[in-house]
Amino acid sequence: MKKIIINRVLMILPTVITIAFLAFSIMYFSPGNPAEILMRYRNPEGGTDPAALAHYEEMLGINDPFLTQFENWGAGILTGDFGESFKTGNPVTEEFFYRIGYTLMLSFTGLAFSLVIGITLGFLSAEFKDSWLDNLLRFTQSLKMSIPSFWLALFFIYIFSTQLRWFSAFGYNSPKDLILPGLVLGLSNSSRMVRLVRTCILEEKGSGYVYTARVKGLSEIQIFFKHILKNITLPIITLTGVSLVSMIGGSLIIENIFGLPGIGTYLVSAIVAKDYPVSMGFLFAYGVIIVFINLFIDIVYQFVDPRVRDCANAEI
Amino acid sequence: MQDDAVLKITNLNTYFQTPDGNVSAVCDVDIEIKKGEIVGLIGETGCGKSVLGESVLKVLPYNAIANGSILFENSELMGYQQKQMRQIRGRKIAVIPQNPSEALNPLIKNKKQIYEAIDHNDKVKGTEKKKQALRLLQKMHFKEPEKVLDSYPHRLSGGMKQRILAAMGLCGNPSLLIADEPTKGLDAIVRSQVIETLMLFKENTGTAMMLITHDLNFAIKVCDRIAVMYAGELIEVGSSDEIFNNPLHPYLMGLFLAQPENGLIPIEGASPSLINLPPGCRFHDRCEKASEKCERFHPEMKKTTLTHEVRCWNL
Amino acid sequence: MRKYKVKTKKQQKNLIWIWSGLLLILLILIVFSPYIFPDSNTINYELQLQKPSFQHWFGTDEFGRDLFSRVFNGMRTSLMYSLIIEAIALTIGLAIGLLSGYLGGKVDGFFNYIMNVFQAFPTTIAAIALIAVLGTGDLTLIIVLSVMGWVAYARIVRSETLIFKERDFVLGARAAGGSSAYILGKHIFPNVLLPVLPLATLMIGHGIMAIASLSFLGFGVQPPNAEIGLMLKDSATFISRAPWLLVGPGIVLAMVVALINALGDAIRDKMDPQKQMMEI
Repeated sequence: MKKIIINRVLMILPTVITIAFLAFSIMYFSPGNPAEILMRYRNPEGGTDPAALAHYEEMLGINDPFLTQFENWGAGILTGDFGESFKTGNPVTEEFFYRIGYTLMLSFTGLAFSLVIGITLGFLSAEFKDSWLDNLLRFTQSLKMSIPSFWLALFFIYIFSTQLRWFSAFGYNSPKDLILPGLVLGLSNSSRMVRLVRTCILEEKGSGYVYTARVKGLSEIQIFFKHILKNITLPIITLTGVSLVSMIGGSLIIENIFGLPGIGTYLVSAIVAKDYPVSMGFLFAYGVIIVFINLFIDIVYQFVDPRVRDCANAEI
Repeated sequence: MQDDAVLKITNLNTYFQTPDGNVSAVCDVDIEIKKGEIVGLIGETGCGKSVLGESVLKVLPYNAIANGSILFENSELMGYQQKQMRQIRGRKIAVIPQNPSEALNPLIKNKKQIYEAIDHNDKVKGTEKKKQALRLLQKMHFKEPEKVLDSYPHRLSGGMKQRILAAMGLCGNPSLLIADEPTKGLDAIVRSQVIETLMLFKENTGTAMMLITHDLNFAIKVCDRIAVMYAGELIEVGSSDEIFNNPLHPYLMGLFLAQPENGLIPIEGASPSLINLPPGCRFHDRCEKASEKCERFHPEMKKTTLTHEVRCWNL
Repeated sequence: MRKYKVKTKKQQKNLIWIWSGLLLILLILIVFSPYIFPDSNTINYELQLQKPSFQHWFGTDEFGRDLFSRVFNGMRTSLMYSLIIEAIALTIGLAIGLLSGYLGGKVDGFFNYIMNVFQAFPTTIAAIALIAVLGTGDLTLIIVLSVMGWVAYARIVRSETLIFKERDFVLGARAAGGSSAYILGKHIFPNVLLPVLPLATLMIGHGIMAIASLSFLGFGVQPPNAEIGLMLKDSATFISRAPWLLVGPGIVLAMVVALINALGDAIRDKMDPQKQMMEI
């Protein structure tokens, strides 16, 4: 057991280094001189003074060899120093910790919605297999996979914000403002959950232990809650982890539409503004968050199924 | 006669609706099981023998439709709702499901699964429930019932799982036990344990039994009467003696020849598809004695003695 | 017992024909849109933000351009880019999948690691990271989505290669002294192409969606080219004044992608009926 977990933890090291490398290359390989961009932000009326430019180049260390630059940046990361934003001069770490909360709140709201939607609809679809309800649900699921999340977002904004005025269309003032973006995020990422829950329930319903429970005289509802639910937890947990990753990916575009002050909104504007330290830091952070979620799924997996547990114990 | 029948099935038809058409798994089956009697239902995989058991219990898949008459202790089960059926299942009719290795929920401790069966019959308090579970396991000759209760099913052998399933069936007051393929895939030693399990069950309850199996020798050893099924219908019914000493249907004779001790001579061909059944005798294209009549007309059940019936033109 | 109407095989087949017909009509409109709607870019400020009418089925945008014709123009861009992207991704995926599966060992381990890393990241984030390096533009968009798209192909090609590697005709060819390149090209390559077909169909729809999403953020297709995501980005500005501008592009995009997906599903079911249930 311990061995497996340690192994998994060690496996993420090369991945994190690769991510750092890719994030770093944003500034190094981008066309144009970062020092010039920085100079324009710091001193908008300064023109092109070669001495000042040299000063900024020195500050960024962009004349150092690639590896030295990478080492410096990497050493910064280890001490929590991601540099300062070109645009605002604020430390990137500070900006990040101010914004990550909103992104995580949105992602988890979306995840909650997708779980509720996925389990409810998947259950209905399986329980009434091949009925009109199942067909309708399956049709809407496949249609939903063809609708981009941003269109769904705009549609909901029109209905619930512009017409019904239940929610504000833009910005964040209270947790209530997370409901609409969370719903869109959850809905547009729930198709897989619905399909998984449906397939799993149907599979379990055909299995031997459900037959046993039936002939023991348990009702379908008892069978679902006492037997099936436990057996479909493992695939649901696995997919929940995967979903959380797609929630974080999807939150980027949703944050931008709803004007939430999360890291996605800031990252997009930073890339447009060529604010390299922010782009690098935030993309690195996105990468690391995703790697750790995947690690977490792997570890949780070890704890759920007693058979997996036993095998793991036997290995030590 | 009517009164001592625990189960009386008349004219039972069960079919499945599929995209390829209707699959008729059980056709016009009439069968009767008397109090305390052991009736074997034998046939090859896919002949509809398990579906017959499922039809009695009303645990068929969603796309199946059954009609006919199923009289259980003189009440008609056909009109019963699922809610009424649950009063029968586990209490009046116990079941030992097929494939014991998959018949217990792998994620739930054995005790909880046994408690469920106890709870279904009458609500008892925690300690009493445990005592009752231990009693049940002892009745099924478990040596360390405490340990069994506290472990997960994957720690148990196939034979032990089957005895747990049987123990669950014991906690009601069953007058009928349906055992579905109790010997499938088991070696000789475990097979004799199964017979022991079934006899233990009978000792404890005095119940009638329906043994669904493809294992001819096992059936003859255990059963009072045997019904042979082929492609969804009964083709021969008789006492074990009659079936063993005087098999009449060519399919049954073929089955005997296919047994290991008789030289493993297989029956040529395969059973017909249950979607488009041939008009004549369902066995005619595999039968050496088949005539034109067999090909064109469907034979009915004929009585040859008081207890022996067979569905064949060539008698 | 509830009664169910079970669709027969024939009814299912008829449904596929209806879908294919609908998709064909849409594809004709999309591919020949410059000839069918020659004046889709005519600016007419008198017709600004018109409601849908018989002249303008989807209404008109803020420059008075007919939205219906622009939608099909935009889909043409999306479809063309998506096809280019899939062609590149398929080529890379085939090459890596074949090598990884055939050579095995360290090469396979390395590519497997790379694939895991690629698949761990949501397309949007990874695409934006690459766009941050390369700068925005239509060419970047194609490069980025190709780089993201090959993994799905490589995985399936790899697993198919592993299967075919052990098949008798390949072992025979090897025993007969065929070189690795010859065996890969002549024996394995043609056999792995077929299983890739349903995936390739589904990926066209995915590509169209990804292009629309990135364009909506401003990182994809750049104006003055017409593209659905870009059009919806403009429409979003007028959401309270002219909400109908959202409807047309959304419906056409969803219809095209849904029909392509349905076609992909149908191909997959036809090739491997067992897999229908397993795919999640």
